[in-house]
Amino acid sequence: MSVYSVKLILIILLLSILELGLASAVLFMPDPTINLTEVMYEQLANTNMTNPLSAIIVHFRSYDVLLSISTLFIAIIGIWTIFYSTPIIEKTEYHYDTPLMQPFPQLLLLIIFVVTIGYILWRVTELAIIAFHIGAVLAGIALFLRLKQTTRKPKIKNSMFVRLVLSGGLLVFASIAFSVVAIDYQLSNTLILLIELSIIILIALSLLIFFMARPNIQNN
Amino acid sequence: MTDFVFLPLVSMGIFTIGVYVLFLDTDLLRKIMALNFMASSVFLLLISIASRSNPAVDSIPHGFILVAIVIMVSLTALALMLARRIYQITGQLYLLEDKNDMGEPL
Repeated sequence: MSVYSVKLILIILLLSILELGLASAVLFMPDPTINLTEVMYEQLANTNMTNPLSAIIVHFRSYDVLLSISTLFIAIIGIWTIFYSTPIIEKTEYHYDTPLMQPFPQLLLLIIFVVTIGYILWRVTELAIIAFHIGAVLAGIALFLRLKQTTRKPKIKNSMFVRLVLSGGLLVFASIAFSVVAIDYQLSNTLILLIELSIIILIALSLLIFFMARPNIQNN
Repeated sequence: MTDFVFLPLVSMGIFTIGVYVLFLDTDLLRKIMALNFMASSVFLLLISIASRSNPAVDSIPHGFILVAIVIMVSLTALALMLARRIYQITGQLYLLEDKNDMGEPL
């Protein structure tokens, strides 16, 4: 028996102990003392919403949404900081010679876009749930359109426009939230819908910036 | 209710695979993927906890997951960016601590 196989058996043993310990901790978890589902369904009538998940996100967890948007914002700042920290060896030409980059049926992207917009209009009251996924689809479409233009370099610079839109998302969130409080919670569901729409745009742009945005290296 | 035996076992298995790769693999991309594995297993666990409640499915863990997806995406993007920077500086996709005396990855 070599040292390697002894090591492997030891690792497998340790990992199985970890797995069984974690699983037993979950399986023998005590039942909750308060049935939150019943409480939630009792309160659902006050929210004027039919979907319980949407009601929870809009009425209980809006700080979570705000902070998750802030996390995206901070991640972008971190990415830009890493970009600035060392000199960048820039590739001047981009060749994407994969089957996907061959003449791509534009119709497919159009269909995806139309279905996405249709889905937004269809499930407009539940936009809080699907905001991130819609934003991701929109960012994917935009990224694909960008990759098709092989001759040009990434277009979005670290410009004032990107900065304004990024910080504007948080500002729109905060200002609509304040206005909901200011007009005494009337029209709150409609106004929150506006927040969700702005969040979709913000998430799409943020995900796009993860791939496309380049800081302007002519500064130094 | 049977879901609450099967799904926690599966999710903790995925979590264990993530722990294994995170600790014992030197490749940075695999480490980042392992982090994603661990996060996904926790999502699966939360969903299985949600299916436990009566009379309907509990929506509160689902809300957690929706927020956690966004955070996981941000974390992955930042980690990938750091890995890319390490690759640009050193030409290798593993940390300098993770090599033996010959200069090879472990």
